[in-house]
Amino acid sequence: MGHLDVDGRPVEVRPGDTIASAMFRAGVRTFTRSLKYHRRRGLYCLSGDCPNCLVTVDGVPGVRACETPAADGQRVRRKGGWPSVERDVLAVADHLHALLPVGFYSKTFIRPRWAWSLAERAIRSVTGVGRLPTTGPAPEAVPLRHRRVDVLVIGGGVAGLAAAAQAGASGARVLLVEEGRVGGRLAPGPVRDRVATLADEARRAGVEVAEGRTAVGIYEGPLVPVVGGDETLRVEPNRIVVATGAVEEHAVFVGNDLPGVWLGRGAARLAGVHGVRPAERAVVWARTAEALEHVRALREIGTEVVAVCGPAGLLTQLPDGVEPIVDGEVVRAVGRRAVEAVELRTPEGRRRIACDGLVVSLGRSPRDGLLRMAGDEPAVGAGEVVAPGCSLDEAEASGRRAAAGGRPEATSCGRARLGSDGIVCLCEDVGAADLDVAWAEGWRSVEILKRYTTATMGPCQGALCAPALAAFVEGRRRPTAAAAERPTARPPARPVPLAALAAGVDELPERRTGLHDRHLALGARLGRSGAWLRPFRYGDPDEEVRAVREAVGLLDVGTLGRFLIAGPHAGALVDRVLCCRTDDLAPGRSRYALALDPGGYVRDDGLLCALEDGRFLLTSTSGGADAMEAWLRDVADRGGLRVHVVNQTSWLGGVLVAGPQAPTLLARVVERGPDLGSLPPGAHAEAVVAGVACRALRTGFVGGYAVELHHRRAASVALWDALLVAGRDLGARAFGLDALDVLRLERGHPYLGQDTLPDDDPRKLGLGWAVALDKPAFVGRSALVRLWARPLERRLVGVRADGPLARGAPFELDGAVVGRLTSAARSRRLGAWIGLGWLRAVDGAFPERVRVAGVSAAVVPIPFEEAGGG
Amino acid sequence: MAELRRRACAVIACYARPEALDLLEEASGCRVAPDEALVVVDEDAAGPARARIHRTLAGVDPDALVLDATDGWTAWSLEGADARVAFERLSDLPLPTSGAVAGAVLGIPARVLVTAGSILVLVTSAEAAWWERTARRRVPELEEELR
Repeated sequence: MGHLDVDGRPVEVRPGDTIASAMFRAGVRTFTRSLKYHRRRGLYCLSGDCPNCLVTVDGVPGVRACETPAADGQRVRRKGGWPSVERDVLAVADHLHALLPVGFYSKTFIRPRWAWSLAERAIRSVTGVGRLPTTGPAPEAVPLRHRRVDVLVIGGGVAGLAAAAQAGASGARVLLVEEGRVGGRLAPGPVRDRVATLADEARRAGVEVAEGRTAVGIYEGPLVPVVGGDETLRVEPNRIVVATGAVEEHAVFVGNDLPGVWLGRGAARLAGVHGVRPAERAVVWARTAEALEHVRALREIGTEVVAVCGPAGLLTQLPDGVEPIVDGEVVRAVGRRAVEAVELRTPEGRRRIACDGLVVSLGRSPRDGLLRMAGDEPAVGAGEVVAPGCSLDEAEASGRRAAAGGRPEATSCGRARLGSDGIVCLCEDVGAADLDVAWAEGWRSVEILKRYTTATMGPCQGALCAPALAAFVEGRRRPTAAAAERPTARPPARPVPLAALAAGVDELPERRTGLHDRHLALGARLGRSGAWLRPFRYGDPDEEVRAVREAVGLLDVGTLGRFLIAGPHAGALVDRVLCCRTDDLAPGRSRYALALDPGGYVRDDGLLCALEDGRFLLTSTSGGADAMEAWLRDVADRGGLRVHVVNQTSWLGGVLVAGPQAPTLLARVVERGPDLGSLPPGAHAEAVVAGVACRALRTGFVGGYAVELHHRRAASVALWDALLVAGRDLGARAFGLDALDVLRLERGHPYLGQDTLPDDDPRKLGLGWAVALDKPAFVGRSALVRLWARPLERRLVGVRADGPLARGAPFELDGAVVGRLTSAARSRRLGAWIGLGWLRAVDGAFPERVRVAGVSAAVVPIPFEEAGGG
Repeated sequence: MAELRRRACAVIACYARPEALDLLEEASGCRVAPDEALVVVDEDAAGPARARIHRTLAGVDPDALVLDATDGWTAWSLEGADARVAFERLSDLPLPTSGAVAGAVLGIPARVLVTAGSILVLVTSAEAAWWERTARRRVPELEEELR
């Protein structure tokens, strides 16, 4: 049928093979190396629950070999070892546990501080997992599809198929998703026959069976993302039946992760489904009746089952030639590269049996992550997920009950077996001894242990180890304490490719201005700024800054919030909402205005323009427009004011024309109205510019001469084009948000939200001048009076440095953090790095110099430069 | 099946006291708040309609505002036998037999006018491109589902 290329070596593929079965048949025993200690890991569960067979297939890392059909020509690479998985020098880590104690991120390499950056790099380079490809072509985007169904059934086993068939027969639209192929993991026998019968019944009932699809979470709605089949489905079902079955219990004993240690169903699957012997000589550790079926499957494939240890009642049915070891327990699996022997504790004493396989079948843990994350959503479990170990008949009945909306009859599963040592979490390499250390250090609940040790946080998401972790906590608590819960289940329940997660990312609503296509035509690099898609740069931002400072620049400000406020109480509303004087504002005049909340903290800012007939135009920040509209309406309603608040943000376009040549440019294109070039600061006027009716607002955000031209959105393109054409010989060019960041920083203007904190009042921002405290009333006034009676403890400051400043870096003074840099840019014009940030007073005074990520910075007055006007 | 079509129309925003807006025949079906109504008319009829509405409102409320909001909105009609089913997949808004509702369609604010023949969805022009792209993907999915 073909060959795989496994680490450069051809591996034969037979019909029905998975990558794992083909590799194992070819003699591969070590499939990967563990995350931390680089221990050998081999096939274990064969159900996609453990991390032991994650390989890179055709460049895609993290592929579960046991679940992935093998195909001719696939390039399979084992990961985690250096120089190879078979000969891994980094396995020395397994002898250095003392250097890698549990919680070592919190203990080691933290002094001196610079050591961490080196250690982090080293740790990242040696961890035993694959690498995300960061070069080469990006993967194909995964399409997103939406489905709405009456019933979604997750899991295509006996219970799931029965539920789907039952629901389908009642006329419901049913979608069943199965991770692999329906029945694909089952060896010939009664279970597979039952599955085939039920699958036929389901299909006849009109059930849509989607194979190769994995439900990765259940969200409020309910909403269930399903990945696989080269697409991501967002399924919105009315009801969900979770029939994800159970996984065999992961027992913790010394050597439990050696290649050659198998979960019973995994070994049986390899034998029965793929016809491959999991071992030549095997010992079986049994606590379930199902273990006897595993013994039969192993013997049929030719494995010599030398002994079965377990309770006496179970061992009476063993076939001839198999030694029963009554009440025997495995305490250790021994071997260097794989299992060579097992050590047992028996009533007669310790025994050692030579073998190359240990098959463990002690009980089942429900694979119930999805069910537990469903919360109050209409989801019910069916089959083994609620009754681990139930019979086929019980599973089918449970599915049919679940389809009818009945609650399952849940059974509890036994406590996981936990030895004194051995690996608890295969994904994260957390051992029982690690849990002991963490417990002794005071981390004494499942959730806290999880966070500290990272147990259950790997690709299997606790499918195998969560019961063991809970058993550990339960065992350590006083007997009277309540049983330990397993860690909270959170999506994704199964590993998900990043591309599948990104599916539908373009369904995040976006807003565009009327100039969107023009920005694209000019080669702008667009990005999201809040909900808006805006140009960040068209070329070199330094050149764009230069244009504004020395010639003329155009900025699309169609994103600004704009509100027409009219009605008999319009003046009263703006007077109440804004903290500046408004009653003295004559038509044609405008004023910088802050809106505060009742606590005196800054909500938003903008320009208030007085119009004729007692109306006002109020602008707000781009990101604050929706909140400002709600705030205006709220204040009006609560005050019983008769006003009309008209949000014109999406009706209007806006173009900022800024720079020393802006007056010349405007003089060329203004057809009617005043000479905008001589429009003074704090003024606005109507004008027809290049045939477009505009309201021109003199503004000062970028410094120098600047006018915003607000106009009908549909006319944006005509106005923009006319301005660029008319200003070509003046050096007119478009500029984006990167340049704007430098320009406004040079003027010391903060971005609300970025440079501010939620409890910033105007004085902290250096905007106390914008508050008319002599006004008798405005929202936030009484709070400001109280706040301003106290000394200023923190304020927004400007900093200037010769070295690079990184936004977000702390301000440090004598080793103590005294603030944080919120904006930074290099100003070519000033020949320095400049920034804004908040600074705390130290001993009643504000420091004059701080260190910012190792760079000495002076605290300086803002604006950094007097650009004139504004 | 359901079909999504871009509709050219004019939008008139009316702000006035409720009793004034009550007099507007056009506004009866697209009242988005007690003191706010949207009137959707053919582009050719926008001028006369605006003047007529202003006359009506000003007679009761001298402070009434009648504004051309056409630039602020973009309209699509959802037509066909499955139009209502399709709409339900795009929005949780309860759809009246006729009349108007305001709320989220595909997660963004919209005004929805229902007539006998179609469902008219108005979204802000700023969000129109995204809305159209998303709706054009979702409606065929629905058709496939219903098939």
